[in-house]
Amino acid sequence: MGMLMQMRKGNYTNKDAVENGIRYITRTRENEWRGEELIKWGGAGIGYYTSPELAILQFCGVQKVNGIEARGGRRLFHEVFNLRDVEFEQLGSNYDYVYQIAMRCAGYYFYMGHQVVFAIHHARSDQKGNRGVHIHFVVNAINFLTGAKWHTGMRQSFGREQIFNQFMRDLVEEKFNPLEFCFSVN
Amino acid sequence: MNRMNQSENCRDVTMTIRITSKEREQIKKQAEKEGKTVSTYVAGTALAGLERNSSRIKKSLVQMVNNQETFNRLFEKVSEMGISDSDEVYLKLVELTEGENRLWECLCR
Repeated sequence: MGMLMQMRKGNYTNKDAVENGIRYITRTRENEWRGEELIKWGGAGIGYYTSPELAILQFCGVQKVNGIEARGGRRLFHEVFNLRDVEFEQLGSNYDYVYQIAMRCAGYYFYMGHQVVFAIHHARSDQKGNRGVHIHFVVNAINFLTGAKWHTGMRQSFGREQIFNQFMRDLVEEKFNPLEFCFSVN
Repeated sequence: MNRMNQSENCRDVTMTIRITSKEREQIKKQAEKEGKTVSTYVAGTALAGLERNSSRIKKSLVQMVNNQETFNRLFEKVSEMGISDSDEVYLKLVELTEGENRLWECLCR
């Protein structure tokens, strides 16, 4: 079962939190040395047909219109969905399928009213932090529909983890057991 | 507590604006029509305008965010169909998104 972790190292309240967060996961930092880990990136509620600069602009636009400067506080949430090696193998070790899972998960945040940027990483080198295939999500703390701030804790995170794992199971069924999947859906 | 609230609502600050005599007459006439003092009318209209602008911008923002999803799907479709980046359809799509991106830049300024 995949594990969803919320990054709690920073409180992401500073003005450049959005730029730093998105550049970190899309591996577009200045003097980036871990660029090879990035497989693909995408998102929901942001334009991923061009560079991450557009996503940064769009996150900041939503925050500015909803008065982030006056309100202060957290500007984004950073979550990581880690796939175990056996789960990646169940997906045929196919990054396109991981991308489809990431898109469904991103759709979940977007449905709640939050823009999200995701990036699929495969850390091959022996390093600290997340190893294997994992999906980073940078989620705008400001809801673009209501202007409200997102408040999420461990319980909600656990709920999301269950949902994301269901997305993964559904995709495995769909791609590798299509007949069974059709009958189960109908 | 009551005294504090009273001082917050107390109109003890003056603001001077420069307008033409015609504008002054129009404002006075409109205030009279609505049964308000000129101060109440001008302050109310200005603040309501601020709020209207703000809610208009927020509604536009929701549409702009949703537009991005449409653009994402269009670019995916264009890629799936193997349309080259010199094709007119692709160029028009790029033009559309550039226009939209200029709106985002205005928001952030």
